[in-house]
Amino acid sequence: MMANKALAAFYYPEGIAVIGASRNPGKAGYQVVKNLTQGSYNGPVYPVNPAVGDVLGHKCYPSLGSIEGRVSLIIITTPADQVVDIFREAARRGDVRAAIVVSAGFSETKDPAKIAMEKEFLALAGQAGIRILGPNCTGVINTANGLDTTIEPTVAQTRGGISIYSQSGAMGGSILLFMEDQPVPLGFNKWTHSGNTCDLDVIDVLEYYGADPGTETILLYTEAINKGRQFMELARQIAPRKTILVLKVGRTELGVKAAYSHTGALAGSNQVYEAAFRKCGVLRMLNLEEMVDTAKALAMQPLPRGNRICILTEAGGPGTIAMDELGTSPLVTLAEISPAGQQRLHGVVPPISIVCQPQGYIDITAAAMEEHHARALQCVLEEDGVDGVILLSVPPTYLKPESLAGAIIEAVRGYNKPVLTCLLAGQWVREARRMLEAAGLPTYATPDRAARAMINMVQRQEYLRGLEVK
Amino acid sequence: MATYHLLETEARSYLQNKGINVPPYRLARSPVEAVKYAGELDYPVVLKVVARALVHKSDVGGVQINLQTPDDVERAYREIMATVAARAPGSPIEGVLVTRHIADALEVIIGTKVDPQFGPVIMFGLGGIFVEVFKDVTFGIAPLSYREAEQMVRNIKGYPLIKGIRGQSRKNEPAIIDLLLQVANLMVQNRELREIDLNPILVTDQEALIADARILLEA
Repeated sequence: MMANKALAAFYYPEGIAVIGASRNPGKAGYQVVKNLTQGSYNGPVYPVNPAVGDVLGHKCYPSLGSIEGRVSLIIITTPADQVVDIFREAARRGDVRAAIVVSAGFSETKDPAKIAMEKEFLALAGQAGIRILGPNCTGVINTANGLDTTIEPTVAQTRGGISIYSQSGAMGGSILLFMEDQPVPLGFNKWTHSGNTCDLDVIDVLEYYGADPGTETILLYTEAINKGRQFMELARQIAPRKTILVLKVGRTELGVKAAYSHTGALAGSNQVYEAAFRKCGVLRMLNLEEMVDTAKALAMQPLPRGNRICILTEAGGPGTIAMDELGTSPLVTLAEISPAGQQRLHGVVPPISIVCQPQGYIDITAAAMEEHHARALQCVLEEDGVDGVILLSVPPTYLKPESLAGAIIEAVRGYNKPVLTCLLAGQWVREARRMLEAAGLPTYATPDRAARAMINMVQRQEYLRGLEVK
Repeated sequence: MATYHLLETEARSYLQNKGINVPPYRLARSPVEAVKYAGELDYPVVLKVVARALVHKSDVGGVQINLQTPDDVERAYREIMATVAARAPGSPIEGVLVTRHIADALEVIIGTKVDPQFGPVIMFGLGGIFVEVFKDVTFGIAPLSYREAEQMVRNIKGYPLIKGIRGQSRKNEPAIIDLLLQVANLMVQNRELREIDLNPILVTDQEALIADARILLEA
């Protein structure tokens, strides 16, 4: 639990000093002060730079030692060669508990002299009881108090239950931008980037997120997990309560080489990672889209109670694509619609519809209007043999997407089964997708992405069911 | 970290001492002994050279299979000695291992190693070209639960060969699963073990027999 207390000093600091604060918008020392003071965070921020009087109108201190108020977090944006001295000064203060070292030019260069410098300040910090994120790191975001220590492009701090850890700042930032770019921005709780991980790493952050009441789903981007057994043990404890999605690169020889040149990580055998993730209940994601798609489904919808999925489509092509994707999972089967249910369906869909050929697949065709979609959806949600529904539609000119969205929102009310939707496509359905998501119905850009998110929900459900059996 | 391979005879007795079933075998030091043991074990038999420097026995002509008669055994013994002496001169030879030849079996393999990140890991696959060409293998992290071991067996693409297709008999799948569980436990309980390579394991409808065992230990 040591790591948990240490990380709290990053997310909930009592006074932040930005060392290397700058008036030059091209410098990290400017952007960090800007992010900290111009957002919704209202704790004390102390820019430190002996050469200037103020940064963005905030009084600048000549040194870390000259700040009278309490400082629990320091953010270092100076050139690398000043970092060791800054840690000496931080140790003398006695109140500093956490340090984000933005400065780069340490172990990632693989230069022995620079590696030695990183070891030196790590030792100083260790003696002074200061924990480190970095170096070569942009730090943390906490939507609970508006804290943003980063130089990442600013995203809307929509609050939610998803917390993110990334070994790569660029990928971590991109996950947030992707989440913001959904029809309704997908909220998050905390965000952490660990850079060179000279001290705190994925295990510490996972432990914190595991115990953090604000975190429901955990997203990890990592190039290697060095303490594999420790990671598995921790994940095994957290996975029954919170879903852990991991984007672990190094699936191919080329990816392994790139990961090594990026962070020096030995990506390890892909099949061993697969086995390890499966064993501790972690869901592995193939790419950024799948990660955000799955997190969105989990954030908005209940888990399916079983693995029987119904595809309800207004067009054959998209339906087939979704079926193809479902077929990649050995876990998922198509829903069982009872004979009575099929009769009821025939009564509410256009006469040319194809009902349950094959079983669990319903094509209501382009003749379907709002009420056909809505009533067919209700029919399948009523069925005991249906655990989840993928609804696909390509609204033609005579079916207004917004009106369709309204009918779908009304239809699903009161059912506790996941419904994932895909309206194709583009500008034509943009407002309808926004309406659906505002009402808690996740939308997907393509049918296969909706199906993939559903597969992951089923996998999560099967994992939880397996725990009960044991 | 220094490591060394056990002789096949040592590897077999190591496994036996740990409670893993190994089919009967004898170490012959002359053609006469080989013929005697073959008679005791019952024909047909397999002869394999045992030498510390020769880990890849068949590469140096050190293995002869499906030997039906005493004459076959005597000739095979002399051939093995001659070929090994020619291809790997100077390798001290302990003798020749005699064991029963199993016909019409499916070859599977179990391998283990110690992963730098995840510790003892275990691999399962079908032998021969399936592993070499198609890389049709599954991995697990030791120790395994029964369900995990079962999934490792069922998730290989060649699983229908174990289930039995085209009139072939259904192979003894529970025997494979038991062996996977035993080997995974062995890796967890004996930290001196760096690698175990059981290749092949011969699986029939009755049993799963370890036909060759290589063990790498930490010195």
